[in-house]
Amino acid sequence: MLSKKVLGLTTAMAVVATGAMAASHSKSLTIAIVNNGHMINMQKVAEAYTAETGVELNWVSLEEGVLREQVTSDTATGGGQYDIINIGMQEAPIWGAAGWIEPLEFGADYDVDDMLPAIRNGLSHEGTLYAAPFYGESSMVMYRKDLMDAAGVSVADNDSWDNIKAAAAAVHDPDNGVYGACLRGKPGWGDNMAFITTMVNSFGGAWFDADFRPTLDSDEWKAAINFYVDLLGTYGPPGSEGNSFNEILALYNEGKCGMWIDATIAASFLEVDGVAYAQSPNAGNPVGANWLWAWAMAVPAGTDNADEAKAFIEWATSKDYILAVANHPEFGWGSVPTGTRSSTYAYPEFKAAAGFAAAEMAAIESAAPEATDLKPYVGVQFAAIPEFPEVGSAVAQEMAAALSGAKSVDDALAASQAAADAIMKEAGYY
Amino acid sequence: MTLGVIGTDANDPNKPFHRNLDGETTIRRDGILMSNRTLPRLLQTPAVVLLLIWMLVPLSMTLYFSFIRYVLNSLRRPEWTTPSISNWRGFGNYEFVLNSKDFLFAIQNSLMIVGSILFCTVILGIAIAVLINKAFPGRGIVRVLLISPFFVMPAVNAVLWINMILDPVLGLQGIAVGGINDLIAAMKDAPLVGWFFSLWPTLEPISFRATQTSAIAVIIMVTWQWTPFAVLIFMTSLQSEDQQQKEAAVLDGASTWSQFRFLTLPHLGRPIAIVVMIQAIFHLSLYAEIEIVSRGNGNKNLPYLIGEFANNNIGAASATGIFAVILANIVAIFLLRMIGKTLMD
Repeated sequence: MLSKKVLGLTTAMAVVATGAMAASHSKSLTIAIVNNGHMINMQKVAEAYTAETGVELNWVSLEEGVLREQVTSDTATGGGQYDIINIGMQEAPIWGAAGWIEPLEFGADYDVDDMLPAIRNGLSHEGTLYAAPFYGESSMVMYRKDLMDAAGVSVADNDSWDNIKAAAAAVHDPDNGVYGACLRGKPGWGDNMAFITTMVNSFGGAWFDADFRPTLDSDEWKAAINFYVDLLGTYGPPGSEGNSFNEILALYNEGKCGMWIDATIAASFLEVDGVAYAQSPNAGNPVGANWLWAWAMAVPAGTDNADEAKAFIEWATSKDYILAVANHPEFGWGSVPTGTRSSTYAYPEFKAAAGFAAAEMAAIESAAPEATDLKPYVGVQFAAIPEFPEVGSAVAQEMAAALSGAKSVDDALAASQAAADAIMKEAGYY
Repeated sequence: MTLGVIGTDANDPNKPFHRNLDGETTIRRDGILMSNRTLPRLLQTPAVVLLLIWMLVPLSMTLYFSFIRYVLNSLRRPEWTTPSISNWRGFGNYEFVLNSKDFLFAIQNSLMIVGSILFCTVILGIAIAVLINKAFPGRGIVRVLLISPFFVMPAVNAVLWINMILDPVLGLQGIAVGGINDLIAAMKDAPLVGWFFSLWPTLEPISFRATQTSAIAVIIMVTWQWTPFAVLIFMTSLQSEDQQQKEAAVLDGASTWSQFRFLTLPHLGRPIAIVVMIQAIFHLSLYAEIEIVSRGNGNKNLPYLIGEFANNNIGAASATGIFAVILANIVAIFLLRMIGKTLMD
């Protein structure tokens, strides 16, 4: 028994060793990826790429938070551990500006203008593309039309927050296990703050003013957070301060949510009947009510295989890749990565497989990540500055405390403002 | 101190000798005393030097980073992104950390959760160890089952507890509360006893990820995981308890409580000291449970604070690390003073 195990282990090590040796002879790329569905699928689809070009691909699949940590320290110190890294929209422009990742230029076949403009802008710094998107998303309202109809209410595109609250109240029935509104509450700059920031945007607020001083004590923030705490506290499921995407998805598929405002990709996982979609609610602000996010592939400046890496990215984010997934025996049109290219949305097969396609495209196109007079930073539900994760996490915990009822909204915002101010001052902004 | 006999050579009074306890004479050619420990010490040197490097290099790097400006990325001050002596900042990082929002809370909370976990595991550990000390059918199986939580990985432990047991909607708690409420609602219409049940309030499930409760959730799950460790130590110790003393106590008519209080508990003094010391050291560095339960909402310790700074601000993270070293040393000194004595006796 034991000797068998030892033998197995030795064989495994031998295989790994040979693999590593073989890799050092032929061309090979080490790719750090986020462990979401589209990237896991890519490992299978890319077998064809290896067969065609002879480039070996070593995948390092990591959970989002761990990936961020690993890739940040490796890239910041020029470690050169990876040839290709997955980064998000928060990192791409600032890492590009810092010279941590290489600018990307592709051939005419790649048709870079086919890329959705909002996504392309979000991944560029001063007009240069630094990361190529393989998947993009925005946010929208997903609601139970059957319950809304039964209660005699409706949700419209870009509805007012008051109507949203009224609709949530109408379908709220905790005795039968249905909660009016399921929204993110779990602390984290990519979790509750993603939703809360879009909400604050729609109330006309922003993270920083033109001098990058935090504006969390503004009236817009107060109005938005009071509304958020009231809406989710009254019509949300218990324990909302622990809910993010995955938790709410489980609740929704158990039939416990009347309405959910979250990433458009959620629509492809919903298994409940009677789902309908609407554009994110808006208290009057014309832009910024729905977020914009993309996972993208970039080449760190420390790699020795930059040319091969760029060639692979060109393939993996191309129109051909979309078709390769659609025609792959294990996948199909329902599994193609969405939110990157307008040509994807033109395929009738895709529209048939993804009922949410039109709503998703509209949401992505209406998102505006550019810096404007209202906000000095790039990004909708985040600010593309290196200090944002720190500021965002600190504020996220205060928002969860306000939602828990441990602090008043005013106290939580005052503490958030003080913390954000200290971090920005420390970072040398003023 | 070198044991043995020291004297001078019978033929040459200027030539000292040293004879160790084994009767070997160890004397150097030049006549200078060579302790019988010198050679072992020389042989140990490479290992000790390696250990020192292992410890000193990270510590001195942390100290160095804690006194300079060092961030991973900065758009405003690119010169801060490379660690350099020209970015010297003195105690600036320490000041920033001391004034940061959650610093004092993190220290208080660290001590609170460690103290609570120690209290719960020791009490539960003694109770369970005494319970299973008597022979009963199936004791072996019960012991194995009791020990098993200790082999669950901390992150898995946290995910299991918070999602499957403590979740107020989909977890065991939510289902149980819902079931009890349904039962009470049904009983309200029952004849005769209905009035009694109509007095009962509707139960509300508790969210264990909330600010007020997230520390309690962590204490529950860590206690569940570490009680087996205490049980294991106490159980072994109980088996060496002097049975003759107990028999004498029974003959003298001592009650079971008196036997426990005056025989068993003093006997467990040393194992309790061991459990408290080992666990205190382990629990000062809790991280996975805090991250998974509430992401620092209402529950934080110094390691978690380091993690938050380490996103970008390495200087502040290093300063927090130094604070954590100081805190761990204070706790260690207290423990060694109070408990070390018990161990030495």
